[in-house]
Amino acid sequence: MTHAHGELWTIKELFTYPNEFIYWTVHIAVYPYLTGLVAGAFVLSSLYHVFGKKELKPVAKFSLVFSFALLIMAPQPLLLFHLTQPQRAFNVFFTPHFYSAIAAFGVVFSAYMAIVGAEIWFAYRPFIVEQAHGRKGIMGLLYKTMTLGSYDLSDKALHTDEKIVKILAAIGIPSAAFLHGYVGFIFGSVKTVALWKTPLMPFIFLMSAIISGVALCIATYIVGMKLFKRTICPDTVRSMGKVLAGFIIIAFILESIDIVFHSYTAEEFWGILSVVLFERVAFDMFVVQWGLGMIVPLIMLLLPKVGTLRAFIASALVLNGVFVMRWNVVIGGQSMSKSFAGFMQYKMPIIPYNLETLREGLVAVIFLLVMPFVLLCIFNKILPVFPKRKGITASDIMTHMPLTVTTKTPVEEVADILVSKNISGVPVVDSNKKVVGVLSESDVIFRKEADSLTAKDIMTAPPVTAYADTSLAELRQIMADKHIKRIIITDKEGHAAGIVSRIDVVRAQEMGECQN
Amino acid sequence: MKLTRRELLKMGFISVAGTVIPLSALEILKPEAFASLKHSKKKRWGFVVDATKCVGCGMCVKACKLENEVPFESNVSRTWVERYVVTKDGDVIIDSPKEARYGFIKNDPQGKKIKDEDIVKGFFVPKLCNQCDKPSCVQVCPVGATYKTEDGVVLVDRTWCIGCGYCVQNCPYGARFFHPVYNTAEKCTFCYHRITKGMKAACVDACAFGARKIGLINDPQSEVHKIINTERVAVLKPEFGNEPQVFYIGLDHIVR
Ligand code: SF4
Ligand code: SF4
Repeated sequence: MTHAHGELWTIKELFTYPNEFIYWTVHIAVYPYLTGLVAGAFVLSSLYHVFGKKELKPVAKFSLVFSFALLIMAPQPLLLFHLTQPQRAFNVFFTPHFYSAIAAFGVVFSAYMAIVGAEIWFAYRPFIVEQAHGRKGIMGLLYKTMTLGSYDLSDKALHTDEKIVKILAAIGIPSAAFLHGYVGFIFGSVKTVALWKTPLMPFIFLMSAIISGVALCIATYIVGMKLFKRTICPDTVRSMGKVLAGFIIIAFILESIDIVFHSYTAEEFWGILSVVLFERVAFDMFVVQWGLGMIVPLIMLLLPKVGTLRAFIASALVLNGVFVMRWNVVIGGQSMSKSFAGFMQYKMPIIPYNLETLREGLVAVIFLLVMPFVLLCIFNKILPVFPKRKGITASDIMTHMPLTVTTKTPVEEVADILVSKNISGVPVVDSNKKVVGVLSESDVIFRKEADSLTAKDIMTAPPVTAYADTSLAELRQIMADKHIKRIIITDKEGHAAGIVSRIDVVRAQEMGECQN
Repeated sequence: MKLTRRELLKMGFISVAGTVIPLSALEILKPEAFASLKHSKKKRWGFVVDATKCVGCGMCVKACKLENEVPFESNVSRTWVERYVVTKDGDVIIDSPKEARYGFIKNDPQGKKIKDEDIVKGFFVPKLCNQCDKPSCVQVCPVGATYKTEDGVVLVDRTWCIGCGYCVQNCPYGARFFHPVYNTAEKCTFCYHRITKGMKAACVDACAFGARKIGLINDPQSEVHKIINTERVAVLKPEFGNEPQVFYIGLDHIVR
């Protein structure tokens, strides 16, 4: 006997039309789940790139690249597993029928992909160019290709890059909102499914998207940093937690308004819809989705002193809650028969016994949910997403390209510079630009009164210097041993590269690896 | 080749725009524009179901499945018959066992035994695709694989359907399903292959009680035209705005 599509996982109760089955299965829940994660992760990275939220810098690149990995997987539930004729997927490009909410999918998706791809490229360009110069073999070739022929690393070019990243991130926010709001519209416009048909759907989807994406970034960041044994920046976690809490509130309001409206207007279908909501999915919806997925994490995040563990648990609960929400919408929506006189239950195939149960079952879902992490790991090999653990060195904390004076600069002028630039010391260089001494406030104040003194006459020489890769511990040691307040950082030729003062060292100790 | 980033960005924008614009031009090639060119615009196929005449024998379902090669034993069908039983207590019991392909032979709605004296009202309602004038199924097909012909019949192109199921979701009447063999969206076609050759739909021919009639709605000579214009007929779920073209005589308010 030939079974009908959908029959293998649908259990019918009371009266449903003969042709009714759960046609949109778990993949249609996974699909908006993944696009939602994309949107959320992207918004998080934009908070740094566009709005300059400094604390988010450690996760800005990570969430950007992660959103790209998720984006690649987002359409796969449909393309690989859901369509009964996957080989024809490209028909959407050949004959798009724009009255359909999913016809523009390919276009919206590719446009968004282009934006995120370009942003990543600009954000990583200096790294790519460095690698292209430094690496040999296959990887060298890969990086060379990735430069796209653009090797310019001048200050001006880098500045332009930064600007472009900012612009792309700014365009990206409405695009991310559109991409996901649009997914909501795909459901909201299905007039035959009472639970879906609401103009709020795009907004409900968008908000739950953002909370799931931010939660995923928090959780992955924490796990990733632990895994690579790096320092988790408390400020970053707290800041992400705040973003998460804010969006949870909006998401919760929208979702509850929807239900309140349905119940108050009590249209024809409310009778059966209320049975679905208050009996059939009540636990999933009110306990897992709202209680554990929103209210509990919200309280956890709003209580003071959010730590890593609490942020992680809250995020995990949110992720779970949003997945259950997608499930409730997709499966719960269909579980109510269009006859208004019966129900359908969905039993996801766990152990596959034919092609159909393989494609539409647990195995496929696991594949879809694991792949973004696999992709993230692969991308991480090419474009490192987590801040390097290298131990802090002079180059991380020094003031770059300090002002210098020459041996011939008159003392009056040196004093002027110290006062006007509000600095306490300055390197002295000779005619070859080599550092030969250092001048501090005290040198200037306690100089012997004499005419036409130059820097050379009162400077401390030879200066105490170190290289850019000198570690924080060594710097501290030098300062203590020599009782000095600042160390000049030079390159191998002895040219001034920077200056490290005591306050820089103190700050670095304070912030650990979270200093940027 | 050396490219500045500005040039690259420009190229990126152009290629995105370059894909979007020609793609939208393709929309002009709507399949319905090509379908049934040979039929005049005035033609509009319609259907009348006289529910008062249906005895629930299921011959129409049998005929349809055989005629249209929907595997007979599969639990989906282009047409089906529903049984409504209202009891003294006001309970409404509805069923359509195996789409009624074997007819209703016992008093066992939903497998329950109900005493004859407890039944206050009972009747059958044949169902099929309504060939809606505003078909919500066609509206949502992303690739235009399903379309309405000029003479008002909604068809599916089996060679183009990608099987997304959007149309199946968006039909308020449950008329659509996936063909168990072809795995593409499937539905009643009013037996388009027969009616365009002057024959009647298979279910109409199979009904010994005259419960099903097919014809041209705008043709004053046709029986459906006469019934629709002189009798009190109703359509299913008018609130969805689909403007169904299957008209019912004797439709009860409990029928959805
Ligand atoms: S009854 Fe359903 S399948 Fe038939 S035309 Fe109307 S919406 Fe489409
Ligand atoms: S299942 Fe086929 S006919 Fe139906 S909307 Fe999808 S592509 Fe179109």
